[in-house]
Amino acid sequence: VKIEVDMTPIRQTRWTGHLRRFLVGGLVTVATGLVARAFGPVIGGLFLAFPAIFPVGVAMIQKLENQKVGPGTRGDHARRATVAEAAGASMGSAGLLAFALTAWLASGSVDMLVALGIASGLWAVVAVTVWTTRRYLMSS
Amino acid sequence: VREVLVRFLVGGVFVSAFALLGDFFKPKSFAGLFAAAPSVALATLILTTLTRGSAYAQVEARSMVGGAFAFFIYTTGLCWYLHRHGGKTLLVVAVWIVAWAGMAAGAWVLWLRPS
Repeated sequence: VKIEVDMTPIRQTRWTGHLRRFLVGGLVTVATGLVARAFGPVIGGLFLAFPAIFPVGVAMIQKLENQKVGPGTRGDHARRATVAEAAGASMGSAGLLAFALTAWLASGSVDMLVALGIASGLWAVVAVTVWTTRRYLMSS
Repeated sequence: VREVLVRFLVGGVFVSAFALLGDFFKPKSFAGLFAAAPSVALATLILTTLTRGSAYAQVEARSMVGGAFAFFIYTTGLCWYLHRHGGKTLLVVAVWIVAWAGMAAGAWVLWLRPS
């Protein structure tokens, strides 16, 4: 399977969809800070991987996919798209784990902001490697 | 108030940027990788480092390991459930957050809780 760049979903998504993601992202970041302030960094840190953005993305996928197909197959088409999105997120969570481990362990020896840079790079490498490996194993 | 506003704006920009990046790609499962992007974490840890210092941010990053493991269980379980049983997708997506909370609580009890 080839990875393609497709601009269609961005053009199809209304500005309210992008605004919703911005608002949710901002609110979740504020909420994470408030949780850390109220309960301390140990509990606050857990919420850095809280799945708050994922349901918003799924809601947007549902809307787009339901627009594409007729009323008869609406639910099925959107559900299949959600399963694919969740499968990708599941593989991506290996990258998320690598990000957290790197930020935690590397910040002991380098500056935290440098550690976050390294962790971000590693997130991308691990996520893409897991996705590519799974595709390869499925096709062979 | 100023800190809350800065957190809101930075968080919104990071989340939107990663989500837009995910929108660009096909197939859907590859785009899904960006649903697990560390957007909120990156925004929060940068701001925490600048306002409260590296040691505080390091404690948050350690806890995030537990949260990320819970996220893996959430997305994997959700994917399996929808594939096998179907149901109202958005409701299933929302209800499975309980699984994330359970795993995160487990990580706190077994590993993160100060003894």
